[in-house]
Amino acid sequence: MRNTLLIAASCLIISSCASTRLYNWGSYEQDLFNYYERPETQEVLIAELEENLQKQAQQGNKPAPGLYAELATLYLEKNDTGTAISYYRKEYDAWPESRPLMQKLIKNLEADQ
Amino acid sequence: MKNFMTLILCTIAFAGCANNSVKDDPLASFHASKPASILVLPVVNKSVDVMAGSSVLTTLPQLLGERGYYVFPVHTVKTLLEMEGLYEAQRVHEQPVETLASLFGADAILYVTVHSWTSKYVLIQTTTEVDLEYIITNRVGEPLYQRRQKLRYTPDSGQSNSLLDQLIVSAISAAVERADPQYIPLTREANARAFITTSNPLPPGPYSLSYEKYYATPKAD
Repeated sequence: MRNTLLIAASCLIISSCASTRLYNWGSYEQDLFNYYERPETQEVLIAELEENLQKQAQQGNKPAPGLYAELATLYLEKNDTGTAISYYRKEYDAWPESRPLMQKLIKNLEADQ
Repeated sequence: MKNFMTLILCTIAFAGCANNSVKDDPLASFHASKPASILVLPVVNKSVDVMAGSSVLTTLPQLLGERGYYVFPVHTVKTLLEMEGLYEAQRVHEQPVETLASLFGADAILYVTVHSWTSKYVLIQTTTEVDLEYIITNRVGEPLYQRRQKLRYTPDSGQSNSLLDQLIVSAISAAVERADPQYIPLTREANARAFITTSNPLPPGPYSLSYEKYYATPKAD
């Protein structure tokens, strides 16, 4: 009985925590910080962002603001302009506030290609 | 003449009310501006700790995003500014606000300065003292929200029962701290105190579930 109550209480706490979060950010904070401290960890940042964003898309969740654009910029650093443009487009589609900037970036990158 | 006097008195009375209500709402300019998006600029770091600025910068998007704002991607913003030749955060902060706002299409701009950041290693615990300043302005540079946050932080070494356990855990946590100070937990705490757990916290943004309710409540009375 006591165990059941404990489990019920834990579920309540966990579910109330989950409902207060708007987005799943994955390990973005720590990974970006690590990247600034040790640039050789760039691949970890890219892989974690990509995996998290794919997972959120599959589950029909709204991506956290800015994450698609961050991924695009990291691909741009690797001179992969095509992939960068496709991720800037995803940021554009997800967030109206990003559109003036994303539009400029996409236009300039397409002109360079 | 009597009517004229009444009119003047009324005007004074009303003006008095208006002034009072503005004075009584410390976030009046924020409430009038209602920004939907926040541009977080690279952080000016006046401390000797080279990672202090990065730590503050990387912990702001999640906090402000969860508060209901569109937060411009901080690494993308930093990279684009560098492409424009602006490598130093100090130089970015000196740019005209209007230029930055229109370049990115932002409603509000957040300027953060690390004034100091010092870690002291006393026996087995490490304590870090920080002094951070946060200023949000609108597109024309009028301040909407300002906080100066001084914080003394000692990493939580977990909850152990025995004194010996505690000593071992503290020794390990001090060693970890020495190798790589706990930047992220510290700046999360400082940011949260500046924006959330403060009197008159940052109002919720349009994506927050409490946005409608917040702005439906009269702000000044």
